[in-house]
Amino acid sequence: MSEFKLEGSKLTCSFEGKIGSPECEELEIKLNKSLAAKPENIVFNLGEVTFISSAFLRMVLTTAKSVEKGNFSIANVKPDIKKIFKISGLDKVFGV
Amino acid sequence: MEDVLTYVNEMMQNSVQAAGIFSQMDQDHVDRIVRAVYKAGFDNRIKFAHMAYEETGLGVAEHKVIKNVIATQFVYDDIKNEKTVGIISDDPLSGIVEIAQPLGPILAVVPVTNPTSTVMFKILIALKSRNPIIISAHRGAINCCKETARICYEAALSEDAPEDCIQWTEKPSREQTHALMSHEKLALILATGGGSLVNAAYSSGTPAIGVGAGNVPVLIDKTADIPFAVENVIMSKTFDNGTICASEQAIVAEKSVSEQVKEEFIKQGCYLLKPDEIEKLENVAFDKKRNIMSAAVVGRPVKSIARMAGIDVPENTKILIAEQDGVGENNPLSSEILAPILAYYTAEDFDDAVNICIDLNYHGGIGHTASIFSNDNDRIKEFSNIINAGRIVVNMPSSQGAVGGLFNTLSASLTLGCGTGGKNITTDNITARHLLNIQRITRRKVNQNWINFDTAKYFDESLTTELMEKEFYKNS
Repeated sequence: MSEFKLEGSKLTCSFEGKIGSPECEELEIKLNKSLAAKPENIVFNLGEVTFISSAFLRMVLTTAKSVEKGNFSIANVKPDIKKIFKISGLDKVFGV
Repeated sequence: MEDVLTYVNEMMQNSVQAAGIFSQMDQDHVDRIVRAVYKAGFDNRIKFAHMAYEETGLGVAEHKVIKNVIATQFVYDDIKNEKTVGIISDDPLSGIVEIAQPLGPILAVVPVTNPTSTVMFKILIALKSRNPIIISAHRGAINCCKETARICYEAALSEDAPEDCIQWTEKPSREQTHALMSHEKLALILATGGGSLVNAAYSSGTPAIGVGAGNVPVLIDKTADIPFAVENVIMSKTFDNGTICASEQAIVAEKSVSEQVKEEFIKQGCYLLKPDEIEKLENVAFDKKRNIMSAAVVGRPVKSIARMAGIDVPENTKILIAEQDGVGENNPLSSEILAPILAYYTAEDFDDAVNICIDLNYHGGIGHTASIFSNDNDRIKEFSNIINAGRIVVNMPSSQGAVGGLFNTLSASLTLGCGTGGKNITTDNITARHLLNIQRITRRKVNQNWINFDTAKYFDESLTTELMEKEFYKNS
């Protein structure tokens, strides 16, 4: 079950399980609702995520662009998911 | 130049992201993707063949259909059951477990002679090994390659393949190709093409699997079934108008059967050139300035070539045959010419035939392919031991034989390694297993001889090999 928590100007999005393309479509709708509040800082908590699709990676990149550079980060990745960010070179970008 | 770098950087970033997503996928998911791409490729084999023929003007459209069949059906058949993800072997006896990991983004350079078939072949083996691929087509075959890649990509996405697992360059240029080849995020170049392209790949700094030129000699000895041999050679040499690099280039027949061989070629629709006609053919088939075959004849039908050379040949002639007295600079037709043209040699005996084959082999075809028609196993072994060829095809058509899967059990492939003679790293028919990094877990399995041996003895100069072996291996 995903959770989108807005505290002040910080939005923390916690995801879990397999995030394939269909799951991503639903999540994007929820995310966009939360982004309407124009948070200044965004954290994606991937501690319970076991699989991500290209669609989710796209969502990460788009969301990162919606805030100032340095104000988007990814927290709590399992090794499988960390590896994806390492291979794609996005680990340094998002502090994975 | 800046535009080119921006384009290439974006393409490579897309590719490494695809590589990341791919790394999670299990064998089952990968195999579903590969099957979907194979089906899409096979189902469009005729459309792609016609597109390739119309765009390049080379070869024979129907034969390009068969090339597409090899690149899809036969390649798929060869790789479908291969384990290419996760643990692929686990041997309790040796204590070694092998794990297959992908390489990363692959740049696939595609030749104008086999465009759509090479695209599909490389896509299938890349996806099977979880490697994103970028297709870089020859400028003479861009559209048919793009369309092939696009249809394969749609099929891959239908099974949730990573986005950008297949990309293709839109307007290739030297700068773009160089930028891609030497990009830090590129894992491997699969370079199928001419010498200068393969050299560029090897010089780029990125690991590369390249190919070499072929100058395939065919030895027909006195034990051969001559009508059968000739039929097979014709089937091979006329396939796609001789554009496959593994096609026969020269016949070398033992004297005792040479006249019979020549007569059989004529009987089966080939034309034996007269001396003045050979000279005319040399002038159009070989570029003496650049010292290579002339592009004007590559993949052209006999009729066009004969017209270019000003030679009158019977209608429906299948191959032009030119008797030669030597191999090398003074005999231009002794070189590789990817067209329905064969050089012909009469050898005194078997040894002389092998010698001529060695000369041909070393005249621009080291490591590629050699062919023999014989029913003498000792001679076949002797020939094979001496010749420098990754593939020695016995009693079969060379084009269809070397690519594997149809006439033998070699891996079906459109990238044929030529070993160090061809400046390649392998003589294998390249397939999915060449696109893996194999990791090995190794469990403790102590060498008991090592444990029981007094290693201090190694520092005693009087310990000879014989004494060491006697002590080290005692009670083994």
